[in-house]
Amino acid sequence: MRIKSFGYNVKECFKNLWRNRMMSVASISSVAATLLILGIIFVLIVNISAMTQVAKDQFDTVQVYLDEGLSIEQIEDLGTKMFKLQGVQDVVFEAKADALEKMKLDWDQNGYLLDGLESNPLPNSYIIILDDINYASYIVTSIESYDGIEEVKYYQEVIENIIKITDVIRRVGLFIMVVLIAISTFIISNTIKIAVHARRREINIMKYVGATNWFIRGPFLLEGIILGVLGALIAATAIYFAYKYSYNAIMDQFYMFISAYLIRVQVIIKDVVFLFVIIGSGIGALGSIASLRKYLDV
Amino acid sequence: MLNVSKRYDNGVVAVSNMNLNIKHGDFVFLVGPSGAGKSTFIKMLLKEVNATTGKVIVDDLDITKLHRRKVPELRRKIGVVFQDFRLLPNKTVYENIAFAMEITEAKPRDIRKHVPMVLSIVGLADKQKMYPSELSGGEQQRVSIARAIINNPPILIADEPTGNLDPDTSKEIMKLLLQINRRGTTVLMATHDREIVNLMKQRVIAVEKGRVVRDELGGKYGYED
Repeated sequence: MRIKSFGYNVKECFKNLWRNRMMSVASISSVAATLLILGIIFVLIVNISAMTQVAKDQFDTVQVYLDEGLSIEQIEDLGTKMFKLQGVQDVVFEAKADALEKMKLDWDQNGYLLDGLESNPLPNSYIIILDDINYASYIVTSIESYDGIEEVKYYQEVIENIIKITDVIRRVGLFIMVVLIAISTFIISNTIKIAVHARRREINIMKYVGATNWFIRGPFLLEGIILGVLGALIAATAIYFAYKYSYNAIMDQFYMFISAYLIRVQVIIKDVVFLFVIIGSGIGALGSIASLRKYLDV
Repeated sequence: MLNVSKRYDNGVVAVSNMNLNIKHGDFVFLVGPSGAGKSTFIKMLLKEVNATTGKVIVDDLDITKLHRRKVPELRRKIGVVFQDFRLLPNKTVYENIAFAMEITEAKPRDIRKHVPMVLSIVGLADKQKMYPSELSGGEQQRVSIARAIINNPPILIADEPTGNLDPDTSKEIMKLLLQINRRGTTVLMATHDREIVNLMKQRVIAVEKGRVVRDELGGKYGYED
């Protein structure tokens, strides 16, 4: 589109927006509502993803208890075998004496109770640090098949649940997003349709004097995009304040316990605005092109 | 300029095997009863409908093979005047004409220069700030003629331009069309107006049931009904 016709477009489009201000307001609200819900889902997903990441980092170790009476060579042998498995980042040996010391520390002032033990009942163990949590079950089954292993302990259920929940939330969120975007596009296309219908004579004449389709679309396209972007900005503002409020509330309530995992307002709002403006203008453009199709076919 | 041979059907055969050649600079009347295929013929020239078979050649260009995106280009070469004027009621005379230029992305300076010029050709130089509703039918038709010729098209198609006008005004309009024709524009006019056709003594193409039944120079309307 050339600059000359751009002036024409802007003029026409604002005239129309004002002429149909009720419908314009309705469209803006619908986009804003859609994006608001979308934004809430987005914020939730982003935060849950961040939390699961943290959780995964905490649960990414596997403890392997070894049988009593293994020779040092056998223990070392097992260590190297484990290290070679795929997905293993590091293998750390924890001797039974060290384990007892650690337990004493954990028990704190009750640690003296352990002094009464005649022999150390704790086994030698290896702590395996996982590279990638998705290899966890493969590693566990592999190790369990080795000789000289007493028990393999790892937070399988916790990890699997976390993976499952994030997956479900992502899918449901995505589905809701798609439905909402479709609804908004439809509403915007209806608004534009009213503007188009009011000007169908003009469009018809434009076609006869040789206006290109893009020339005719221009003002309507701009109109749709403006509606979409305005809706997006309203939704982004609402999300900003709502998130800021809940973030502070959670901070006050739980101190650093959960809030450490939350993403800060400034970080998330940039993504939200970017995402909203793109989706908003996309909805607007799509809606106006859809509503014009019938009238351009002359 | 135009060499036509085409059949068009969609259940109804509106135009069948029509062969016509209209030369550059001609003034041609297209006459015939309603439903004879005059409008279909015009629509084919504007590529509003496509010929089913045959070729429509405008300005050495076979428009039956023309890509959809090139249609606006074709329409800029053809000025159109309608029976019902088709002016925009919320724009002034000046704006209505300037509109046709804005569409071609003309420079504002050229628009300011050309619009008054065309208005003086059609004799409405003093009415440029008026709205279509404030004008008489004849004046409105002049505005629509001005709009049709503003971009200097080589061809002007008038679809019953005098259909809604009284005889005296019609004659005025015809004078204007003839004047435009003398400047080198090919004029093709579809009409029912016997008196005007007989008066003008130009080439007459009579169409009936989608066929050319008569094509003569200096002709008469010729239906003795």
